[in-house]
Amino acid sequence: MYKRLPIGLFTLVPAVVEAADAPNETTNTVAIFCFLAVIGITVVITYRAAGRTRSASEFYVAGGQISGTQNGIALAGDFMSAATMLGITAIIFGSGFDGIIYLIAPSVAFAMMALLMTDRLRAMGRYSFSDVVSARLRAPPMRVLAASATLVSAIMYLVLQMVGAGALVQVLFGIDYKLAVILVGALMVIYVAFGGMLATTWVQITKALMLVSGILVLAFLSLLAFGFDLEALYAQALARHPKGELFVRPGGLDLGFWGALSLICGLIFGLVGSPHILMRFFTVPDARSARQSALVAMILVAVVNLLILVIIAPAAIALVTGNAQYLDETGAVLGGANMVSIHLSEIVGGSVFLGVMSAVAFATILAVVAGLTLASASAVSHDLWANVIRRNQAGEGEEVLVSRIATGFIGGLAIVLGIAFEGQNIAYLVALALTVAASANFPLLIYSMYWRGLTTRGALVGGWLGLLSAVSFVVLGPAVWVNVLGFAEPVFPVSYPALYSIVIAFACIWLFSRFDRSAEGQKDRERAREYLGQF
Amino acid sequence: MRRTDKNRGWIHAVVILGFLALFIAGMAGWPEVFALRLFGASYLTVGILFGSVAIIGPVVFTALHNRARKQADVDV
Repeated sequence: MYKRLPIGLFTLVPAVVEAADAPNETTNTVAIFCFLAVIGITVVITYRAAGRTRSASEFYVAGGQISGTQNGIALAGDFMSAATMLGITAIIFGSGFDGIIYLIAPSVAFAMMALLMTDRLRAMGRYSFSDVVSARLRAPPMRVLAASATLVSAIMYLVLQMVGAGALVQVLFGIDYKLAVILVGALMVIYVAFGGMLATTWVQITKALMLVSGILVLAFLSLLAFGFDLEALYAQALARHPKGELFVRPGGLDLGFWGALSLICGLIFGLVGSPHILMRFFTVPDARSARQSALVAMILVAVVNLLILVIIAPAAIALVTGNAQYLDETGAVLGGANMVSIHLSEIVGGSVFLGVMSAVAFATILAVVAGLTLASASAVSHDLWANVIRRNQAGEGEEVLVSRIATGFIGGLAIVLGIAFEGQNIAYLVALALTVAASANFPLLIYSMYWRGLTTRGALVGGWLGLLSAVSFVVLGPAVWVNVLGFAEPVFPVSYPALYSIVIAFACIWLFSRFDRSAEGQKDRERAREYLGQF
Repeated sequence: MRRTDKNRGWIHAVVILGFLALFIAGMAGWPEVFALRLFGASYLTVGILFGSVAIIGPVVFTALHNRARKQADVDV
């Protein structure tokens, strides 16, 4: 089946080229070349991986044979999505100092993973975080909960990547936003359905190295534009920003103490609970490699984030703000604020570098959506189909087939939602997607790995309440209720609701486990000794 | 579990919570908590320094942790 892969893919390419030939858009030959090169490289990777992916273990976790360093680079790639390159620069561009919350969160999240979680994850799980939370509790209902949480958080994360990809391709080629979203959706389905984790990992590694190199060159060229004089760069940024000096002071996002606490908790705990990131710790042979993965990922992410904080975001403010070439008739940035780093690349590196950076951004998005889709598909096939519906009677071939079918459905859903969320700020959407992971996955994981008193009843009640409250707060809040559904006022008027739903989940899991006097609860506590006694 | 391992777990938890508290303090609009502001440094300087330390700090801490774990594995 995989031998037919490139034919299916390249039927999509003419649509892009044709659109790029349209007379009324910003065409860039280098960009088109780079764009097609990225697609070509990733398809070759997928084609080669497809021939080596047969068993469920190979499909989900690449047979656990990725080295620590390779996995670390792929892990950094999994984290560094459209939000890192496009969204965070856009947040700092618009709101100043407060945007660095988004830059700091991953360092803490990866530290938590390396220090507190890797060993226990490896000891208690096999393919995904669902294995961990169902290991010592009654498996079927726990798997339904874990799979639901995985699907909701991963699909929300997918949507924002679609928004970024759509905007990027629209600006680059002038093709319709909807067509751009469909193109990205089709590519991600192909990567995952055919290549599984092996293809996804190598696509991630390729993309992560491209992204880090691109960011290094962008920072270098930005400094070069100011004669390597950081003070001159900052002075121009301060002079150009509409808020003047206020943009370097806290308060740009108007969060207040509780808002800041909620946002940072959502980002950190959400990253720690992200299924597609947790899945990476099962692709290496042992716990030491898993810790090494986290460290390599941290270093790469820290380098990129530091460069964005110290050079790229200030340079974007200094060079894009007020630059008529990059403003539309209303004075807004062309393509939306998410595009400021792309515009910056053209200012400091010309159309050639614009093409390269656009291709890097596109590769970034493609790789992340592939990882997310794989995590979602595994929730359907491994947790729901193989363990709950077929009660461990499904063969490996059947499980992989279901995963491939699920990939198609998830891709379709992501395309529809990606079109519905057009124009939303990517980094803001990240915070909302991570809210779900922080409220449902993170409490379950921490309690499963560290608290002997956890029972199935407590986990189910608290886990479902955490998931439902997070989704409800997001849907009833400003992002969906007002911006997407068009109502005048949000029902739940909190932009970053993570703190509320996290507290609900933690409190309810503890409460319902603590006062669970059932026979099953007693068995759960006894089983906990077997699992947690080894640490 | 050996006592040293338990202590190490608590130290990790405290350090992570410390980083978390630091971030929240900085984010919530209290840059004055950082001594630099008291010495008259600009918001820009404090922001860049604070951000850099907050990004790099956990990386250094994790690197030291991994090194110690590797050494402990060798010792065992």
